[in-house]
Amino acid sequence: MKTKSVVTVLTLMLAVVFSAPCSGQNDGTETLIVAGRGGTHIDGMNAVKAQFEEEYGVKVEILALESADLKQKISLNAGSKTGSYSLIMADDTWMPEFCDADLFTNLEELGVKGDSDFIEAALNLGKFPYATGDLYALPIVGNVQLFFYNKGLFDAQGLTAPESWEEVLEAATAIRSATGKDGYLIRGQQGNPIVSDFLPVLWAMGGSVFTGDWMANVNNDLTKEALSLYIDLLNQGNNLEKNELVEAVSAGNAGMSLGWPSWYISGETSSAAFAPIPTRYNGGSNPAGMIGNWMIGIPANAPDKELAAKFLEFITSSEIQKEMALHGGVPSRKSVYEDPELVARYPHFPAQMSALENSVARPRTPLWSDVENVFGAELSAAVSGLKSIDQALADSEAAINRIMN
Amino acid sequence: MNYLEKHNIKKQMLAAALVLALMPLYWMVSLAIRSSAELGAGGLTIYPRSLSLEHIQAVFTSGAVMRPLLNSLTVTLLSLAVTMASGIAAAYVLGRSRLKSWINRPFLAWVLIIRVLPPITLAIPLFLMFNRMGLLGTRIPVILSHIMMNLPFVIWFLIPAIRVIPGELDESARIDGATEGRLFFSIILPLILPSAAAVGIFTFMYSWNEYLYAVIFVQSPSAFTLPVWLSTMNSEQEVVKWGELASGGIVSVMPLLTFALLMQQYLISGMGEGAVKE
Amino acid sequence: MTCKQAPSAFTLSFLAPGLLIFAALTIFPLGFTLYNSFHNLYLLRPNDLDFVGLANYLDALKDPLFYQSLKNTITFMVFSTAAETVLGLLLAVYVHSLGKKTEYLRFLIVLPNLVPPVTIVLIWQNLLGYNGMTNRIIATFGFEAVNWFMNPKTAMGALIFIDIWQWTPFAFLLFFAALTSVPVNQYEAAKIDGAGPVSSFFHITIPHIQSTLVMVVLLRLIDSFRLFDKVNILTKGGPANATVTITQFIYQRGVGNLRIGYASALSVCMTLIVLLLGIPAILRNFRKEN
Repeated sequence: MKTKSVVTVLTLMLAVVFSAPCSGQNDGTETLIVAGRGGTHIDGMNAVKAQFEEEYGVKVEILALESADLKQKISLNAGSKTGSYSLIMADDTWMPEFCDADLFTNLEELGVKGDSDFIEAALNLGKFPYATGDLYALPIVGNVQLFFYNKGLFDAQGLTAPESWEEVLEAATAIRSATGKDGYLIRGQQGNPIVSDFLPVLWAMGGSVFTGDWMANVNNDLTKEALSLYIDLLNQGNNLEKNELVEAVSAGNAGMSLGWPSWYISGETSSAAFAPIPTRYNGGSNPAGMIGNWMIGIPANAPDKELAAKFLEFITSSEIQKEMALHGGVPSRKSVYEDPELVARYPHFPAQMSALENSVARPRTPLWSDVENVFGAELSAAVSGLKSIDQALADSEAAINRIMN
Repeated sequence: MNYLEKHNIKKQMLAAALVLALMPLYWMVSLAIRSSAELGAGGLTIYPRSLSLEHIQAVFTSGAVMRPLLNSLTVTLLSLAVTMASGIAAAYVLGRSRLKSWINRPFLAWVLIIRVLPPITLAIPLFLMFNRMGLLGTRIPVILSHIMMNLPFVIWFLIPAIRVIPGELDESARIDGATEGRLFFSIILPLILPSAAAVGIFTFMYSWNEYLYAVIFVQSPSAFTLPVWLSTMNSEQEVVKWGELASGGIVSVMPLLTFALLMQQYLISGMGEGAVKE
Repeated sequence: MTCKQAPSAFTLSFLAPGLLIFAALTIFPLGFTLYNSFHNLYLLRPNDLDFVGLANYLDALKDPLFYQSLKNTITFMVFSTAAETVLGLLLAVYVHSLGKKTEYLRFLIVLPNLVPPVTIVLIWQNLLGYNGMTNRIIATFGFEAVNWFMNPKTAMGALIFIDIWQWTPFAFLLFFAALTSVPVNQYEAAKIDGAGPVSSFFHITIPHIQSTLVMVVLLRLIDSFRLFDKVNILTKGGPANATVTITQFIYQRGVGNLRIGYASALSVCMTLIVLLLGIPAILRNFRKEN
């Protein structure tokens, strides 16, 4: 009996396997595969792609991957003669590394131009060398880090959005002592998160990771002061993973944090308010709004570049970006931010655009991901108390210089 | 009395262990059946406050799950077939020491080492190799790597099962004039079948849930296996789609459950006869 | 035993598929890794291949993360294997003592091992998160919430706990199968001789299931040695490198940073370590044969 049923089930499974069309796409239509970063903008892309599919008689399939997985997939795909992807999305910090390795197709050869409607700070990221060279990718998600705070908690303490980092610390302390809730949340997961979360503090104080000639610049009093402030903030709050951080600030369990706009746009019930990242510290003021755009380009080994170029123009066009914004996409074009209908719906758009225009890009070096690795580990050691601030920064300096040489 | 008391304590501990073991599974199901509104609001309660099939529907209606499910079935069954056939054959030859020891021993040692090596050490060179052969667009690399990954396990597990079969059986069969092939197919094979079934279940399971090779070798979504597809639902930068993730997990566990339930009898008896009694 | 002359055609045909698979998919790739480890291969520029001698190895040996990852991996291996073996054995002995009608119970116990790891790891992330269910339950007992994955003191413990949850069922299953083969009359004889349950456990059960015990320990050591998915999803090796493991370290350098040459050198070091650790087992295997 038993044997029979086992054999039956196995046979059934095999029958299913062999009766099914081999790869599920043998119906003759060409498929355009976009390797993308998961997020609300993907919902937007999926919502608009039908127009393109109809016009060109193709299928568009959009992959929504986690950031590290996306980078891995793009890199591994780059080795094949003909790749699997027609278009790829890339974090702006990957651009120097990928362009340096000729991973992208030069868009100018395909006749794709970055028009002046794109916000310049965003468009610059797609050029190699940065801001001055040829165009290799267009910005599709115009993310810039903002300062998020819970309006309810702030109002209860009579606080307003802080403009300096001293005020941030005061507000965090006030919320902590009055309510017992977390005042300030850091996103201190080792690697990219903690680096992205800490750099705006460092920048506001006038610091930077590198000197002008690409030597490490973190073992100094300025960086120590920034890290010490960062840890003071942590002591008035907590260190959370991103999903929980968004939930805590939205639900009023924590006062404030830094974050990317798309996190909060996607949660419609969110009560988080936002402002530009404070730029002042100790009387001085430095731009600190970190730009973190998702770019979209065509890999050098894309199967059908002409068609991919058409899709690229389609998906970054003003009309389509507007539609995507309605699904929670973050635009990269001025005309979209200024669209009256959208501004009525998202009153923060003008502020977000100005934050984007005044944003700061992370260092443009092909080695940034390695630097992020080691710097992230040292910062993580410092905030968890395993290393002293002095030790962590001295070790960072040495490790970064080892990479850069 | 004392004994009974002890007995009750043991039962309570078992109950506690079961609660701990099943809690995350309950949680998976409960995430799958809550509405998006409840999941998005945070602060989830133990009992769902809403009931919705939207996630399970979403997983099926968009057809998203069918393609990876078929891919996983193909990869798992094909690699299972090849692994079992070549594994049983090799285990027989090695288990009966039919080779000169200078071949037998290094081969066995190598089998052991491959089983012990972290897969990442082989994944990178295999990727480069498959890339040069132009195989990366297909499912072949994943199938081959699963065969390579499971073959040592099968050989390792079956050799003891073959060694417990008395050698006199072979001798008498030979005296009766049986050929090598007959000896194997009509005497040895039936005897080790329960053990083979048991190791087959583990092979199925390892292959079904394998992630590292699949994620490195497969770039095109048309060849994604279930674990790779499931991992795409964890998008660290945006809110995780808990509902669909949990639904996908439930769908993914079903074939394994069916398989395990059907084979449970073999699992116990097969291991009882095989590796256990070395 | 039987034929130590030249192997017959039959023997060769039986061995050929396995031999072929191993040669093509293990020996060749390892050779390739060895070759790459002496070059500065960077995945995005495979044609700029320079011979760099032992530079990759020296870098690896100078990298504190290499030793940290070894230490973390060994910690994980030892604690998870020990706990899984002991718990699995206790559970199996108890369930076995309950008699025949335990199919459903066994099925429930084995369930956690069947769920896809990727899903289950994320479910645990949800449960063990700072605002997750576990901390809320802890809070009702008056304890303070623990930031499990962000605290270097608890992160590794949390990973070990999840592994124990996931793999104790596997150990249980193997032990249970072994217990069914222990002859019952020996227990009865021991009882008549006045031996208690503890004494018969050590004098009858353990000797009978010895080989299973060895097998469970070995399998769990081997599998926990390759810990990757939990780390990659839950902690990325942090906080403060407290959970970097060998596989995650090689993956991060090789697949994350695309430094194939360096990752290859790390792989070769790993292979050598495995060989060194494995030699006693292999020698034992040889002696048994003789």
